[in-house]
Amino acid sequence: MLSQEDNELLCRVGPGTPMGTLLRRFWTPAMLSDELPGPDCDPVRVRLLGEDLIAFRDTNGNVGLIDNYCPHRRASLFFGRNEECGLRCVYHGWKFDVNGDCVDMPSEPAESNFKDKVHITAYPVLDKGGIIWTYMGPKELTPEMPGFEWTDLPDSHWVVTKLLYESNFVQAVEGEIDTVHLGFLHSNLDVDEKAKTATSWVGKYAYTPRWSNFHVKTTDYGIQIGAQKPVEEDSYYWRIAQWLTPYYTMIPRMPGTAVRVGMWVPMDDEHTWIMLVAYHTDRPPEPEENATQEVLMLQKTVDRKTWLPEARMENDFFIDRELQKTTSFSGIPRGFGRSQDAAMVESMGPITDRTHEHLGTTDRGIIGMRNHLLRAVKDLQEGIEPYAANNGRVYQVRSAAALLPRSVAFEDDPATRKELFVEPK
Amino acid sequence: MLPEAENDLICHTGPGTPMGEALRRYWLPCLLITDLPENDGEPVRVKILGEELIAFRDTDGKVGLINERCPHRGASLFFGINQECGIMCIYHGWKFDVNGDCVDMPSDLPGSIFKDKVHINSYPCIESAGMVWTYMGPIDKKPAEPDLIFNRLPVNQVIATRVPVYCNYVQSIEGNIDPSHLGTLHRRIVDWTLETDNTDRPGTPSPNLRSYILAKYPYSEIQVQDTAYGFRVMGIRPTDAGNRHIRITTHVMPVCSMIGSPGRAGGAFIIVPVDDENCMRFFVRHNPDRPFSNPERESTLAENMMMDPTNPKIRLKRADNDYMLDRRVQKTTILAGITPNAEQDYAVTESMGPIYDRSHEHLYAADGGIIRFRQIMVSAAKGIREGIDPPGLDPSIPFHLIRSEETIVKADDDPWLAGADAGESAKPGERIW
Repeated sequence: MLSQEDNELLCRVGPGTPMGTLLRRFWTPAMLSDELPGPDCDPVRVRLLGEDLIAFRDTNGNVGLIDNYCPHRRASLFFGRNEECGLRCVYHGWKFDVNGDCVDMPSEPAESNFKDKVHITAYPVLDKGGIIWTYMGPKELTPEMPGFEWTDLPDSHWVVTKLLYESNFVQAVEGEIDTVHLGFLHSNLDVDEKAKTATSWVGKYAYTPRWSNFHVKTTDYGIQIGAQKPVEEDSYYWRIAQWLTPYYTMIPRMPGTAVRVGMWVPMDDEHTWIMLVAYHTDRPPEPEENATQEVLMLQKTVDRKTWLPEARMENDFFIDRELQKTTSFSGIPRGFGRSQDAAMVESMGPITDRTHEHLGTTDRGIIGMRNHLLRAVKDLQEGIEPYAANNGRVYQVRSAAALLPRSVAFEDDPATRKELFVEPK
Repeated sequence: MLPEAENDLICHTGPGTPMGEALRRYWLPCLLITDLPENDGEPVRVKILGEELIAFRDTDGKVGLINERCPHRGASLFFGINQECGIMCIYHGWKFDVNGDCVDMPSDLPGSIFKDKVHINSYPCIESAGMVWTYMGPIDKKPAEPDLIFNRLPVNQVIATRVPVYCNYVQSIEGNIDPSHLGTLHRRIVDWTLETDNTDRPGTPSPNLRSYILAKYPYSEIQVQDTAYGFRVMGIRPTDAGNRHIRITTHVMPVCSMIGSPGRAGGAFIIVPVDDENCMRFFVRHNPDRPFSNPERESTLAENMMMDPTNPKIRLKRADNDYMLDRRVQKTTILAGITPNAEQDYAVTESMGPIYDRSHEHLYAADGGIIRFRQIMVSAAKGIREGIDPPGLDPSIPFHLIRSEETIVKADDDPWLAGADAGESAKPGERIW
């Protein structure tokens, strides 16, 4: 449970809000690189942290991310002409380059120097790992890029996709680091039966028992969430998720399988951009792996105009009550979006009211994440800058899963350590 | 005209508002029984008085009405699994019964007693007259169950329907207690060419005479009489033979209007707030003497639940298609150009805007029922904060005898004696209880 005051602090991200200020200390994933396919392509509307922006790729291939509103009389630059290294407003011809400088003002007399005094907000961008990143904070505090492993890998080694959630980003993140719901929301009615003959860890252990003991550890990058289940006579089955400041997640994965990184970036207080990456360190992702499969499925089902998948709240995520009674725990069919997860997260309302919730021991990860984020917001209000923003190397981690004797902590197991930590170059 | 402060007072019904608290002292219908057709069937979203709830019928047939959001982390229980005497959240398996008790929490550690501490808000429900009724107020203030004529009749002598109305509930009710619009809104052009007939004498008028009078005498004198359960509003028109045609519409607090109709068997409108800008209209027909035939039942449902076939959650005729107004029909056949009658009412009441601004209106004598209704509602809302129970909850009221009426009386008869089966006073403005 959170007070209304803390909930507001946690969820509001517009300019000038405490959380908005914290998020503006980090590089922010703004959009997919392929939304701007080539020089002088169509401009794209980008709403980010409650700000309306326009992205364009200029004649030289450089990306600009500027204010939506022309500084003249505030017409939208979405309608602009992207030509000759700048975006020209179609109203009076004012033209801006990727740095936000006004490079032409044909409606003014030739001798006027008004143009040199006019500037439009422009955020610096980086195009890395299939994503266009931007920095929306004070120039003198420009942070390091988060050192995510995939952003330095060849393009062939990762796949990426994007979609929209119609809810606040915090509850979206909470849904990702809440690994106990796997045994319910994502299960089928025959999982207990199938577990008897299953050979994979997931098949054998994911659903029996359904509860886990949560071990949450604060780190430089955020928190590490270990869910421990007693299985067999003498073992623990561990599922280890990561939450990285301020909104990145890595869900547990089998050793050697693709790593999945989730980015849960606020579009505004009530909408969240989700960018998902699946990658291998040493080879292209394999289509039959869960993480890769999800990315490829979303690439197909998401409408690239609205960024909503086929299954969404307005169609109740295609819930099928017959399926619910006979086959699947949720009755929400897979394959049409992030349906099961989105149904839960979006149905909480645009901003969930945390004064009415009841958190138990299996919510330790969620509690840890909130505490970490609220601490960072309050620290920044007192002038303490967020550590991770200026230490990109802390992002060099992965998620994991392990089956270990009860006497061995996963952090002491060399094989699990190898999965969890990127080897320094 | 109503000052803005009083308009806000009676129109806002969410949790914690004075009017909301007053309305929560009554049993209110929230669904049709047919919305929950089978045990362990699909849960249904219900929004009432600004609260988002989920209704379900459990394995034993009991109806539960609980908060939509799971108390764990707020996911919607609409997606929940309704089985084995409870609804189970599909997120982490927390399960709640119709009383709101958490009866299972499989995601929690073995031996934990957390489950016993978790409760979800639930409201008691009863099923009567084709509707599911709920009581959302303090338990120690729970009144007797609804006992109007249709609550007592066998189900086959009652037809209940439900439609969404896209405006505040107050303006929707005001249309039901306004007998004077009958001379205009619901008239057919042919009514002005009718002739009188031999039913212009004390007693029930023929349908022909009724239409003849309503068209010929658009002005009706309005009188209002307070009663223990609410008030009665009467429209009086002269007749050619020197008698008086009267229609008495009976308003039972807080939101039920029994419409003045021949033979004391008028249908009732029960208008329940969904939120401040939407309401549900329940229309209840009853036949005191015999079961309804299937064709009667089907035509009543068809006329009163005209939903959009492409989206059965919304009404077919609504503001964004101008209620399918036909200007040619308006010139030649039906004054409103919109059909049927109910849709004519929606068109005018919804066109006032989501919450009608009563600071700019102009009321006159014909609006007597509306004025009295507002006064009673304002006083109920103010009273609740001073610990005064709202009106119409006295258990000695013989609710089942309350009737509406439309009839012809002699010029010198006391018209208030008509339809006064529940012992209403013969004098206007006087309360007998």
